[in-house]
Amino acid sequence: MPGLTNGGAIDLDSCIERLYRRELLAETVVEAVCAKAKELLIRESNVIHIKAPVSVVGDIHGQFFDLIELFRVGGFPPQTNYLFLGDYVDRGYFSIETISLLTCLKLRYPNRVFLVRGNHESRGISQNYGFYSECKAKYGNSNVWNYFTDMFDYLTLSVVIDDRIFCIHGGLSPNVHSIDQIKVVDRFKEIPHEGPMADLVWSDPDPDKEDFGISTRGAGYTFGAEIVKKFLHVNNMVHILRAHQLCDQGYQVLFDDRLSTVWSAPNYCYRCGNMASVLEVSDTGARTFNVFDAAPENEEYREQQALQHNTMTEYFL
Amino acid sequence: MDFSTPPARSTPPQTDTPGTHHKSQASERIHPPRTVRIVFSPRTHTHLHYKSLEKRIHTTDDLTYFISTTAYARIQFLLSYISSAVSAIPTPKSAEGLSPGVSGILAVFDKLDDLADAIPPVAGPRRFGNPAYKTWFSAVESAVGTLITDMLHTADVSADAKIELHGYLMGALGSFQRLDFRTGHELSFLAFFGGCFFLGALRDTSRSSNSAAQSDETGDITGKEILWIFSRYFKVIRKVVGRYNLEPAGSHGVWGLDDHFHLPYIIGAAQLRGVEDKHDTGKEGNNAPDHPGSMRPPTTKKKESDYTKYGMPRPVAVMNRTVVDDQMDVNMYFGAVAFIYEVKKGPFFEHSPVLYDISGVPYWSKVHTGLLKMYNAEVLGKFPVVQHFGFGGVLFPWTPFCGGR
Repeated sequence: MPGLTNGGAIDLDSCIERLYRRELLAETVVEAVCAKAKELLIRESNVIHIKAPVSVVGDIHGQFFDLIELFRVGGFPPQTNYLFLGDYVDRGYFSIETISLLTCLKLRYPNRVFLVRGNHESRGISQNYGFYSECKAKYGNSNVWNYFTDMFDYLTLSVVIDDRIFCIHGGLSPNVHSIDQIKVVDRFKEIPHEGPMADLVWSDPDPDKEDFGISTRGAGYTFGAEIVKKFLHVNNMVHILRAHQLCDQGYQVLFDDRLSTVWSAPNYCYRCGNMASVLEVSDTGARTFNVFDAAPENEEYREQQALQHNTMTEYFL
Repeated sequence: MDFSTPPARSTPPQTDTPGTHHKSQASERIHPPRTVRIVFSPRTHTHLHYKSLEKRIHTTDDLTYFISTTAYARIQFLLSYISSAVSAIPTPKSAEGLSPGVSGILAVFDKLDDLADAIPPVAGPRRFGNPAYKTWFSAVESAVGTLITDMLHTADVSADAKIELHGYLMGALGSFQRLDFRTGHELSFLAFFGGCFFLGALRDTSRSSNSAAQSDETGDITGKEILWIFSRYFKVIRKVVGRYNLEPAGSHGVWGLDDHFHLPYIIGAAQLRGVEDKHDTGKEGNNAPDHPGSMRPPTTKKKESDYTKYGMPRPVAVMNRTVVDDQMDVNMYFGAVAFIYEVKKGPFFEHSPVLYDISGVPYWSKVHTGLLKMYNAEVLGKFPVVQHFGFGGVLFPWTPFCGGR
């Protein structure tokens, strides 16, 4: 079977090669890859300390062609080290291809690729916002969705770059004052509705406020300037880096350069006309946003892939 | 009138809604009811009190209870009523020939439109949505109160109703806080329209005064008028979404029907379902459309597949941009698809796989019932959507529905 060696081990290089060509891995290979990934991820802390240089990536949401464009802009792994801030799946057409590739890259280059958990890396959300439908459409059943969502429970919650930059998917939590408090969270589970784990993947900064506020998302909080200052001071950090919100320019810097949002899905949902970016953190700590546009279209190639998805069959029988 | 046997909970909310239960005769199917009696007569409903809209759906248990409420039954009634009324009727191209009774609600859309023209997007740093949207929203909020009052006054409806109608209208314009627009807002518009309709605020007073002998007022709204009202709403919302760059937050992306809308698809399919009934076409074997799900690209499909021999576009025709452009002004389904073609970049099957799959459904009647089921499940049945719906004291109350009183 392609992707597995004769001994049944995973042939990661051949998997990665196939995935770069946007070919799906066989169900059994996905199962093996996810099992292997769990073994690797379980050993990672809730707060992983890494060293620059590293390129930081925001939401991708299954926009596979744009992920490849991002690699063209920022360099392909392992030439470039990558920290992905979550939301790999849902909404886009190629969530499976995207998360399959990222998982294989993580397994192949465990110290050069880091995957943080986003709010969409959960059963509850990905069942409703596309990933589940995509698995059913492309594999004919939900097994692959089960393998991946089980693996999501093992993804880390945060990364610290050079003891200076704190990275999460969403934002801060009123229940987390010190980064040490994150280390003791039991993260190996579905993302709960509330509490520190939920807040880290759901919260948003509010540039017009000072304190925490109620989020209109129905989960997490909004947090203002004072909260950011205090958190950085208490934890002896200089910057917070997060994703989670669409940015027209591909990124947004707030609170006197104390927090950045990085967004990596250009022309979001095929229609937003926004730019995307990947943030390069150099070994001197300098931060540079490399902005990129949607991948050039190649309609002829894509058109051949048209298939019946039976997305909503149950309604139209 | 063919109501295609709505489920029990979607029966009309009041016993005093005649005009909706005519015997089903083939010749009547393509005609909407000329007259429907209003639901709320000031004389028979004096015990009801209008109040500010309040969110009531906070838990999944609330969501379960929602299905048994009067509000839910009325929403179902509206979907059913609108679908029947617009059957076999093309979307009008102008307000010409429409009853003066709808001029009050149309003035609201004119105001939304004028204010959008008057308030340009502003330059300056922002995350995504344009902050000028908030200016527009606030301007609308202070302007439409008078328009609703005028509409109620002209129709001789209690001014107290304004508090609920105003809430539904503002809820139909997108989120002031989040700068986004989604199906929950569209649902609020259905409630605004429904409220006006139930109250008789859309009726032609000059017409009903002729039959004043019949104590109760008449609703007097035609399918053509319903179509014009909804098309004006969709038009102005599409303009606002584009002009102020509203976010498709909450969208299911390519795996949903549409980032923002569901109702134009239901209404448009209902328009064509009527034509199908009339000619009994689309069902002849040799003209059955090729399924677009075949591996062949759409361009190689036979031309005759897009239309029946009676000239009705088939569901498969959404894949043909030329047909979509031809049909967008006369049919709401095609109007909605035209907007997708306008704003989305990339191959259709990839950015809109659900619409692509629906294009393989052979008949509009099946498309229509499918879309209704989907609306019940994906909009009315989804907590993130209906948690924002407001319930008042009269129009859409959070009270158990008892099948009419």
